[in-house]
Amino acid sequence: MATIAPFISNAGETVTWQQRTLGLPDAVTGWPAVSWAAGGDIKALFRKMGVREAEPHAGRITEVRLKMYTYSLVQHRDRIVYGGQTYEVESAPEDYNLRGTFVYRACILVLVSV
Amino acid sequence: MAGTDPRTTIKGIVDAYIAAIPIKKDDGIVDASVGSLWESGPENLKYLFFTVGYDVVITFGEPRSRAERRIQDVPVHYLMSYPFTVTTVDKPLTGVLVCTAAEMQYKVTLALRTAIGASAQSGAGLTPAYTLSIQSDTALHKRVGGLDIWESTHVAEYETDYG
Repeated sequence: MATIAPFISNAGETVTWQQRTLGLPDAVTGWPAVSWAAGGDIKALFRKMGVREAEPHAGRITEVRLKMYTYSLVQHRDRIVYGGQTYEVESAPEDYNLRGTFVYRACILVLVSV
Repeated sequence: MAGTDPRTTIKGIVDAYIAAIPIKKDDGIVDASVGSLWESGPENLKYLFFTVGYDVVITFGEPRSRAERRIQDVPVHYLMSYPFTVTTVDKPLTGVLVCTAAEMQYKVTLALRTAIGASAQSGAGLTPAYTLSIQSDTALHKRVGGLDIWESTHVAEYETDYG
């Protein structure tokens, strides 16, 4: 198996990849302004990681996580639009290599859509 | 014995102050929308901040209390600690922040200290009489459910002589 790319390409779903860019620092916090590009289509496979209900003081919040497998070079905190919902790359992506050749990238997504 | 739940009293003080002197958004001009709720409500945070449109949510929690009698022959009085929490998230509008969560926190903290300070003692003849003060503030930031949340928990001490 030289690469898994044809499998992901055939069996995977088409999703939108929005790359994250940092801009000028915010006047108050000093943090760089964050924006996401409009995005382009990529192919990816998904696996449900689970749903957790967190309870901060102000109410509840549902955490929905997916694991994504792709051969596109998505980065930490990029966004993925999948099934009409926007997810954020929550964990630093892990690369899987075979005999020194990049095969696919896996990362955990968390739902950010309202 | 009839009496007003101190949580209702504290919530009323805070609500009246913010209604009279509104918290402002980052621009210092437009009034922020402040939600005032009892803690542990059924609502989802994303619903509160992005569907209802609150910029700040203040939640009033359950108390801890203890009785105290410093010397004999003095009536017992009660010290009740009422936590209330200010929750904010960054609220961007077309890519520009209109409410920076951290900045909103300090505005609300200042307002709460003033509001509680102005109502530190119950009005003359009011039953039960009470003394109210903010004893501590604890702030934290966490990322939950794809949302960056800033929380400050203020603990108000409500001291009274009724059970």
